[in-house]
Amino acid sequence: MKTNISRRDFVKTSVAAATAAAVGVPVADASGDGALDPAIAWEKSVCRFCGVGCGVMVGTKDGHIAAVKGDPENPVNRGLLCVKGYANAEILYGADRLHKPLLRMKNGRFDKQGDFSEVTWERAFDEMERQFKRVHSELGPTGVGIMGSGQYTIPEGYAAVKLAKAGWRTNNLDPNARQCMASAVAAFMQVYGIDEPAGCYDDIELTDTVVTWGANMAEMHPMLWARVVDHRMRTRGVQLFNLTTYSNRTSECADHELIMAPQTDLAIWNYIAREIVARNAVDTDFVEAHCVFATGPTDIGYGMPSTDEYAFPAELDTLARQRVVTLSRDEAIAQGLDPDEQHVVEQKAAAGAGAHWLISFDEFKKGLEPYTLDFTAQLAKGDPDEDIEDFKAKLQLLADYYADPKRKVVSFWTMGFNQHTRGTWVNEQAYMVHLLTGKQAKPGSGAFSLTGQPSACGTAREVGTFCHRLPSDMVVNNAAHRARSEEIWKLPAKTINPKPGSHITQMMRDLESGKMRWLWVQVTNPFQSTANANHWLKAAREMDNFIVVSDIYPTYSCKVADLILPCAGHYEKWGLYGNSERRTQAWRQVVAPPGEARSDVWQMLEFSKRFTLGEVWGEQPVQGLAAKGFDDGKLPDVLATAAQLGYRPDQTLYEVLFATPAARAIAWPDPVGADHRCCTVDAGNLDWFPEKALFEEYRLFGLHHAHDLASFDTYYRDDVRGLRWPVIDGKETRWRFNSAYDSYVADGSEFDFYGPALKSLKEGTLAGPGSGEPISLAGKAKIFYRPYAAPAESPGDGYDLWLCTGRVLEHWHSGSMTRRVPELNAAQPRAQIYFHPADAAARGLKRNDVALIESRRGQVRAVVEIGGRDRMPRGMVYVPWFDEGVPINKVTLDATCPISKEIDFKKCAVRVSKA
Amino acid sequence: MKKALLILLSIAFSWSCASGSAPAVSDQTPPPATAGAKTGTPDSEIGLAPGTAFEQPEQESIAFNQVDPGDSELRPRPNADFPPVIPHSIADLETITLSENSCLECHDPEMAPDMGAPAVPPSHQIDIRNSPDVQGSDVVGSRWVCTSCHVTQTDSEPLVATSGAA
Repeated sequence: MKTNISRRDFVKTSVAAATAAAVGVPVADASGDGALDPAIAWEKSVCRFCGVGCGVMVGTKDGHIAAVKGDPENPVNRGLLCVKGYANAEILYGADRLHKPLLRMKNGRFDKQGDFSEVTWERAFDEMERQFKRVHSELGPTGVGIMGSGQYTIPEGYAAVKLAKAGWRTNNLDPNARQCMASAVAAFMQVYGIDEPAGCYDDIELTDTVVTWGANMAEMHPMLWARVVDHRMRTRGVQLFNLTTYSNRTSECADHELIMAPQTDLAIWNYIAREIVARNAVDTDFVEAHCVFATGPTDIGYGMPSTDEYAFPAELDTLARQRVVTLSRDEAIAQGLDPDEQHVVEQKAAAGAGAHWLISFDEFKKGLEPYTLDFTAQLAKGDPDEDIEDFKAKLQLLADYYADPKRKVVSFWTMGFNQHTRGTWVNEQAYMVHLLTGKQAKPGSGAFSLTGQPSACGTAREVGTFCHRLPSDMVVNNAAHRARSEEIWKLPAKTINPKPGSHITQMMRDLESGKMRWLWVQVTNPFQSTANANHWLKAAREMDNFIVVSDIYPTYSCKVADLILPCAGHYEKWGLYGNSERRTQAWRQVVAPPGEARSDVWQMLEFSKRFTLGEVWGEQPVQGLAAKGFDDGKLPDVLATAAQLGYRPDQTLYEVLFATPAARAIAWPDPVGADHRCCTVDAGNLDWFPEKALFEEYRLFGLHHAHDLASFDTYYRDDVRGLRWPVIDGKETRWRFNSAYDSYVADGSEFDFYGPALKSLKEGTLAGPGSGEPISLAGKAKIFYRPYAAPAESPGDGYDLWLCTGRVLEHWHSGSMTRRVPELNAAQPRAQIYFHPADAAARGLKRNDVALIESRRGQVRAVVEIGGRDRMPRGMVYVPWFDEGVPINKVTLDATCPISKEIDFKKCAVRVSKA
Repeated sequence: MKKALLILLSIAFSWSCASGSAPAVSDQTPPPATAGAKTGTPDSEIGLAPGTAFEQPEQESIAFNQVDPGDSELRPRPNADFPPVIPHSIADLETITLSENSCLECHDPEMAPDMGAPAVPPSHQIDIRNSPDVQGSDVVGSRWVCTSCHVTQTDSEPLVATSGAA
């Protein structure tokens, strides 16, 4: 029997009923029920964790978060949350929250070998300033840097960009998001000329087929996976296909599972493309009207250091592949070469890996030719115990789905693609197949890059907290982009440094070589999360440098910090995030930060008061700078031009960058903040509203540039649950590049891939570009041919197992918040090493034994798990990285995609023994 | 911090041990009048793993919950909106596929009374996305994967105390 109840009643009663059911008492007797407690104030907000971007309702009582539940009005998750989402209520309340700045001291003075002592904020900033200026005066802007985050709020990320790039004139600002989706970004820019997905989550309910590639959505994007499973269960004919290197929870609700060998996704895509061509399944009208074909160099190395100078002896053999690669037999076949000859290939294009050029359709087909079913199957079969014919049948079925013109397909991927030494290529291959078949930028069809972090899109990408970026997809090495930024920021011309800075892994390498000696870590835990960590830990503690870590808890990175700054947590500050589907969402501060914890915005604003223009806008050395209009090796003195703009050399960066007349006109109190506080305002005793001022200024970059955001106040309206940009006249855009939905599409075009970047290319062949003039590709998307390439390191030479790393459902990233939630800690107390039973037995290991995991780079111990949620094929182990007691990144390899500079955390060689 | 968890440490690598040489970076100014209240916490005593970043914590077996479903007792929730945790082992039951859900074999409302198990509440039979005003009779697809929200519990103690929602 069905009964009708209103949604509001439902929200109330369902919570009560759930509680009552769980504790076995009638609803009326349920004590402590959040929904029935009239003293709890509920407010819409956003989950702190993954890139799905679920809407939450946060409930507060007596200045404390009492509960968090799903927001039924939010279309992302419609009232549901995963267990981490509910745990938002607890993440701020671990007993070891940082309340005061902590400085390493001995005898009352800063001492790098000292222990941590509480100091005042003034003392903390004094030391930060002194150390910054000492390093800056010796090394210039490249000696200092900030490691940021895809968990920055939009105002935080924007403040960091402005402070670093406009103030300090350093491009050494790069986020942990580099390790999360830089490969996705590079592919978006190369294929479309503009970043971020064409489609949106609505595709899930509109599609016939969901294919997950290297994305364990069931654990890593649980509420999006809930939508996928729901759609599959209610809709006849929908099929779910999981491609993965081991069997996982996503496999459990999939119709089909394909276990592939690491790195062979490159070959599988080419097999599918080859089948599409062979079956005449190319959407010729779409491709001829809207696409071109392209390729690039293959001798691009593995993003490893070009020098052995800092290598441990055991690393030398892997490192040698950065310079010269002897192609494997499979690689030779895959590149159309004679497999019976030896091919020793110098990696000449390592520094120019992103170059690419146009090729003909015939050349494209020629590239695909080696990827027959037989070749691909023997290369890609990942489970040695699977029958090859069964595996071939799965490959054919997958090709059937993509090739069928009547079948809508969504391809989702995450870290399996992005964290990949050919991450940009494999992202591009997804677009290759979707563009060939015309299954892109259409409702229910599209290749969809999911992000890991809550604002990897909204902040890291859109704001541009990367070492080569400026807001709104602009880049520092483009004079027009610098000029536009300088105009919006009211800076003298040539303030912005035209030389890209160090990406986050390079910043670690710079710490090791001494090129960078002052570092501020914000909203991230890089000494736990960066591969090959033994190098970076040693550099942090033994080199002459000063490392500041801002966080809410004492993290692993804090252990190697010199100064720790206590931060306001998620619901203790105002913020906006942008999720995977371009949806910008906002929340208000609902509780106050503890003790002297301060917002990251306040920290940056306050620290900016320590710099006068005279100190940073004079001539500055930048080693290797070579750009039109600049003298080699230096940034010009811009103080004279600054004077023409009305600036004085003794003015501070705070006055010039942040407390500008426009910003100060955005007054606090503000109606949008009625009945709320703002900890940035409180700590700074301000009469203006920095978070709103930063957002409103940032918004200027995207308006009329296909990144239009709504006003700050719009996102806080009761009837708004985020909006997907571009937001035009208050209307969001669900499918970009499609004239039915996107007002940026040129009149008369059905589709218009209007992204402006990299849209002028020479013609050439698979062998290289020709000598002709570049051709304009306005409005076109590029279909790339990219070959299979072997991983940087594979099992062999005493290290006989693949190691894959990643996350688990219950913990967020390095676990600094979720491991302090008792229920999540009890669920996943420690990172385990997941084994195939035969591999464990061969090493004398049983479940719950302690294993020693060793690579060329380091070792850790972990408890053995056999079976459970991750069922490994023989030859591979999996270790999550959330546990600082199992710092698995001491073992992993810091090889990157040479184009995107994103580390491949999914593949390296290890040996495991009983500890 | 739970001192009971402090366990033996071992030096992982000789090259990774922080050297004892004199610091290159030091403070050249006199200390402020208001020195911090707490002084002298070494980096080995902060964070969730004992020891410095160069030491390797020993590992010990995990205290898995081995209680069978029928023998388990409900555990308290941190707040009324937090999904009840699974108080029993699911080691042999962890199967949730499109056609099979081993949780519902006991927790389906029709089965639960006989099994003596808590029943899935009516909220789980309402499709909020498509028909929020209709009370259905089956668990909806968006809530099918029980373990997205309901998690098992080992007998591991909290790593730090909490004053979280309770």
